[in-house]
Amino acid sequence: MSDAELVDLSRGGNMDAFNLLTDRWEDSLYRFVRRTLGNEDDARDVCQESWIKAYQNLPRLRDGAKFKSWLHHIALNQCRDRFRAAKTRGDSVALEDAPRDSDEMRAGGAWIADHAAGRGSVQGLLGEILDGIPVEQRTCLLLREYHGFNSEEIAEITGVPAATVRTRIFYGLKTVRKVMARRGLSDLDFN
Amino acid sequence: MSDDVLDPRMQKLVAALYGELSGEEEAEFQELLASDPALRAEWEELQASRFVLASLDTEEASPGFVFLTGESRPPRPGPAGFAARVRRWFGAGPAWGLAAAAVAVAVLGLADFRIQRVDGGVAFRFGGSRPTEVAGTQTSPPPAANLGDVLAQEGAQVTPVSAGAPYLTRTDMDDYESQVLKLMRAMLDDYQNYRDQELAGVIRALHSDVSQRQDDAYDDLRGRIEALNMGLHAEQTESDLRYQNLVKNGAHRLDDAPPNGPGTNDQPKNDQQKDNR
Repeated sequence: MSDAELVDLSRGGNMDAFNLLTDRWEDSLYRFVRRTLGNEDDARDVCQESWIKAYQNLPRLRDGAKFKSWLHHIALNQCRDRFRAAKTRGDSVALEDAPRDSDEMRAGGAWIADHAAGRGSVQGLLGEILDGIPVEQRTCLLLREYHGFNSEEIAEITGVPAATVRTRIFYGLKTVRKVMARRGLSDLDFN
Repeated sequence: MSDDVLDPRMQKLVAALYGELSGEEEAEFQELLASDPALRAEWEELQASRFVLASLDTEEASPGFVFLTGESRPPRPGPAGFAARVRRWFGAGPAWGLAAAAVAVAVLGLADFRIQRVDGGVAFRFGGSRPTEVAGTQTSPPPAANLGDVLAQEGAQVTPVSAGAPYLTRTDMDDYESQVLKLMRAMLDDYQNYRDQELAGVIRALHSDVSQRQDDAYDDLRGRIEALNMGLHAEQTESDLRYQNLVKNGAHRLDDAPPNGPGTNDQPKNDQQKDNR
């Protein structure tokens, strides 16, 4: 059954239909939010709030086929709220102040030493590389690479033109290389 | 962060990278790629980045989000399920989880613990007494057990975040889990107290029995000693009487003997006989 059909049924009060939507997309949503926020607990909270908002606002969704994009849009807005709240509180991570590829990350020498000693797994390295990408670029990259959204859909989710999305993806991919170069990593490390 | 939009060539590069170009656009781009070494270098660099990103494990499962419908849902596979929660409660290792589960099953089994659907509700009970209904009403068909009602009637304080809505949030679930655990602990404590009291009663009865036996044995022994004492006393008295009689009789015979008779001047006579020899 398609998302559009499930959304229609859900609007008619069929909770099983909404549960099927939940089953279908909650893992994807959680992975996206988890990678965007970089924090498991916050990701859980944001996913929970996003699902509640989706449930409450389902009647406002005009095109049921876009449920997945709409859901991720809600989650992204929740992430932005978190970043804003963190910035207001003076926490270190905020949307505009997200770690860049050079300054905020660990000193390259120590990082390479850890890696050479086998203390860093490939997943750990990738996590650090992703965390080193500015949040807006990372968001577009995550949605494109791991969630199957195209540029137009990412534009709807993030609220920026598709050309801007492609620009962010371009710079995001370039940042991956920069971070790898600073860490002394090559493609062979990810084989 | 730079949001300056890329030039059309780079826009096409990114679009081509993800297969977003139409057939005609793709052909044009491939020609451009073949004729422009700088573009080719960018293409290869971005492809290499994508190769690195493709190494990320995307199998991370969500912690689960539950919408209640009053009907059963198929269980969710993976670490988001109840087993994972149990593992979190009892520690990380599977051995701990198994041990805890085994102990719980053993304790509950020994206590004859049961969860039963009764008159449309759900009831917890230990032992053979008739269970107390704690949830639901007598309707047909019986409604699904409302966990909130069960917990409330068991004395737990639960205020769902999603009150009034047909879903449970993770916060609700965590709250419910902790309350259920609290109730289970209280029930096990009650059971333990019951067993302690029962054991104390048995020990008291044993102690009383042993004390009684000890008192009886002591009384019996004391009686025997007294009887022996009395017997000895009687024998002593009799012996004394006999002695007195003997003494008395002996004195009487002495009184009847002649003044120089035997027993009075024997020794000097004997001494004289010795001297004569």
